[in-house]
Amino acid sequence: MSKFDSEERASIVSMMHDPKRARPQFIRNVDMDKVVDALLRLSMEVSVIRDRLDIHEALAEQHGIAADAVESFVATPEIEARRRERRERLVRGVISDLR
Amino acid sequence: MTVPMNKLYRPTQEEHARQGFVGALKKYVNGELERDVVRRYHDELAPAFNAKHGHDATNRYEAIPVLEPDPDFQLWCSTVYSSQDLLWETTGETVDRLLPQFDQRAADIEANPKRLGTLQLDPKLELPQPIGSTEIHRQPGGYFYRQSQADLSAALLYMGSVEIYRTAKGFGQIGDPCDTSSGRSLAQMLSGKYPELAPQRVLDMGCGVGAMAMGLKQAWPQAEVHGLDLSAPFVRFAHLWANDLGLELHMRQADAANSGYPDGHFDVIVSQILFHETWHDKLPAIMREAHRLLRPGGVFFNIDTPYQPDRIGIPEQVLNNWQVTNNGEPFWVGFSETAVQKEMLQAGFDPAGVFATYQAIGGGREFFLFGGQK
Ligand SMILES: C[S@@+](CC[C@H](N)C(=O)[O-])C[C@H]1O[C@@H](n2cnc3c(N)ncnc32)[C@H](O)[C@@H]1O
Repeated sequence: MSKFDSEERASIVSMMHDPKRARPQFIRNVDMDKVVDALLRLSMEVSVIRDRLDIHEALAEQHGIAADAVESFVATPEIEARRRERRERLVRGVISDLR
Repeated sequence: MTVPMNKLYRPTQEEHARQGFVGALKKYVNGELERDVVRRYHDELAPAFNAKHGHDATNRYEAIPVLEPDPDFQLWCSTVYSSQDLLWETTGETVDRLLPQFDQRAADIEANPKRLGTLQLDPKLELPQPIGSTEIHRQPGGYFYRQSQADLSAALLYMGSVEIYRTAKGFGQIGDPCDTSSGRSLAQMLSGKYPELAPQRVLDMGCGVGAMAMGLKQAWPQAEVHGLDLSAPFVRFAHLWANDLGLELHMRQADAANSGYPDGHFDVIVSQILFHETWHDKLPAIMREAHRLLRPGGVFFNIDTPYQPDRIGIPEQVLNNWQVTNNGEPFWVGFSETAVQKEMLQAGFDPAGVFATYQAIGGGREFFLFGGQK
C-alpha cells in the first residue's frame, strides 16, 4: 500500500477555492439586468428538469426500478447526442441573455 | 477481471452531466462566441479604428486596446475564464472521489513482479523553471503536483480534462477515457511519409499520460516504445495503464533537453503538443537532444498548435494573447514566434528533410507539423 492518506489530503475542489486563485474581473460595465435574465433562465431550466425528473422517479418506482439503476445506466450514443444538443441550446440561450 | 486503470475513471451520472455541460459551454465560447468576437472586430471595430487613425491595425499591440473595451470581448474573456474554473472544479470532484481507488490499483500493479515494461523516475530531477512552477491551463497544482510520492491526481486531472473536450466533440464515451487512436494514426502517417521506415526503437517526448505512445506500440508491436516526460505522476500513470492494456512501454521521467539515453538510440522521435507547453528557451536544446538521440536517417516528427501569427488574423492574435496572459498558456506565444525550421537546421538536421507544414489530422482540426531526418 502506498503512503497516501486520504484524511490529510487537500482536495482538488478545495484548491479551486484558494483565495490566491481569486477570479479577475473582465467585464467592466456589469449590466445587472442581463445577469438577472440569464439567472432566471437558468433557474427556469433547472426547475423544468427537476419536475421532469420527478415524473421519471415516480414512474420508475411504480415499475419497481431501484434507485441504483440510475447510477449503472449506460447511455446509448443516440442519448448522448440528444443530451449534447440540449446542453448546447441551454448554453446558447444563457449567453445570448448576457450579450 | 480487474478494471483497467483508465476505466477506473468513471464519473457518476451527476458528475458526467456536469462535465457534459462544461464541455458544451467550452465548445460554445471557444467556437461560436469567439467567431462572433472576431466578426465584430472585422465588421465594426476595425473600420472605426481605420476611420480614426487613417490606417488599419497592423499587429496585436494596436488591436488589444480596440478589443478590450468591447462588451462582447469582455464577455468572451469572462466566460472562457469561468468555464476553465468549472472544468477543474467538476473534474476535481471526480478525481477527489476516485483517488483512493486509483491508489489501491496502482499499488497492486506495482506489487506484481511480472509487470510489463519499465518505469524510471528521477527523484533528484530539478524541474526546469519556469516550467516547473507554471500551472498550465490553470490546472490546480499543475502537471507536476504531488501531495505524496504516490499521488496520481495530476495525471487524473489532465486525463479528465482531455476527456471533457473529447466528449463535447462527440468522440467520448462515458467510462472510456484515454484514447490511443492518436498514436495509431500517427504511425500510419509516418509509414506513409517514410515508406522505408521499420522502427525498432521509438521515443515520444513529453508523452504526458502516454496515450499516443500506447497507440504507437499497438501500431508497431515489434518496436520498443519509450515515453519521456518531466512529470512523475504522468509517466507513472502511463506505466500502470500500459500494463492494463498488456503493452510493454518504457517510461522515463526526464527533461527532453537532457534525456540520458545514449547517442543514436532511436529510429523515430515524436512529440505531440509538447513544444507550445515547454519554455521556448528550451526548444533549441530539445532539438539538439533529439538530433543526438536519432540514428543517421532517423525521423523527428512533431505535432503542435497552428497559431503562428502569420497564419491567423489580428483579432485571433489578441484572443490568443489573452489566453497566454490569463488562462495558463504562458509558453504559447514564444513557440508560435519561433522559426522551427531554422532551429532544426541549427540542431543539425539534414536540410533536405526538414519541413514545417499545416495539415488536418484525423479528419478534424488543422495542426502544425514539423520535423526532419538526421
Ligand atoms: C500538453 S502535454 C502533452 C502530453 C501528450 N503528448 C499528449 O499529447 O497528450 C505537454 C507535456 O509536455 C511535458 N513537458 C513540458 N516540457 C517538457 C520538457 N522540457 N521535457 C519533458 N517533458 C516536458 C509536460 O509535462 C506535459 O506532460
